[in-house]
Amino acid sequence: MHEIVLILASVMFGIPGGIFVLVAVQGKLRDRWRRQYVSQELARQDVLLVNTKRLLEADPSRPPEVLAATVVRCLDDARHALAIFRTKLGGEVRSLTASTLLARDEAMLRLKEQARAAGFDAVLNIRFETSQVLPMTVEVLAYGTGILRRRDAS
Amino acid sequence: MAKDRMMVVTTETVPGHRIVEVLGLARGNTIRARHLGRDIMAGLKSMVGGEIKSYTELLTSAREEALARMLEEAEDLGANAVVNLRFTTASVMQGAAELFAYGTAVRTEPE
Repeated sequence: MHEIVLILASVMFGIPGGIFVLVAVQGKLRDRWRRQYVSQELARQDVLLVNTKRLLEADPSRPPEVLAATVVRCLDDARHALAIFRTKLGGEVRSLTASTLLARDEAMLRLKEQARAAGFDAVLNIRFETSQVLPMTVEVLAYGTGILRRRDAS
Repeated sequence: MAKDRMMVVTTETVPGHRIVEVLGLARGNTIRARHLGRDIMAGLKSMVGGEIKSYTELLTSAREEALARMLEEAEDLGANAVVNLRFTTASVMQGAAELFAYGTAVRTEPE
């Protein structure tokens, strides 16, 4: 009798628990790989991103264009549950901080890619907007103005 | 601390200094939560109105943290100043608030 209860209990909690842990681990690993790629790409200096209006001089022969990128990200269920637990304890919600930062970097990277594709080499006046489109999802909008820098300026 | 060596301004240029190199965007963020007890107290406070001090403190310390992370990144880029600093806050989760600081890392010389 005892054994049956034990087996039932371990099946009932063990399988969902195992899936939970696996999901959390794969989510974390996937984010880490993505983060490595994104920060490596962002470190490339071919397109300069700034949030000022006038620091860089534009080439008048190339009209500027607005570039915008949106990224929506969410945490996996396991880290979501841990994040909710964290809001009861207080302190920094690290998983969410990292996830939001990744969403923003991803948006910046897409701005960079768009700029490169359009033949620009700088994005001026970058702004960020953050919102929630669904509970526990982060939506990041990054937008700016792509320009071609004046060659003789530097 | 990076804060002591770095000039941070919300304007596009640093008064009295010339910008010699533009290095790119520096950013820092943090998402903070207050514990359940504070949430309950804040709920009670919202019945009578007024400033919710615990949340003010929470966001103040979060802002300082975000700023410090941004300065660290600016330092890694080799900057000695950050211009056009902007802060944004967002609520990405019930009971937690995000603070995000960003600016343009530059190298300046006194004029």
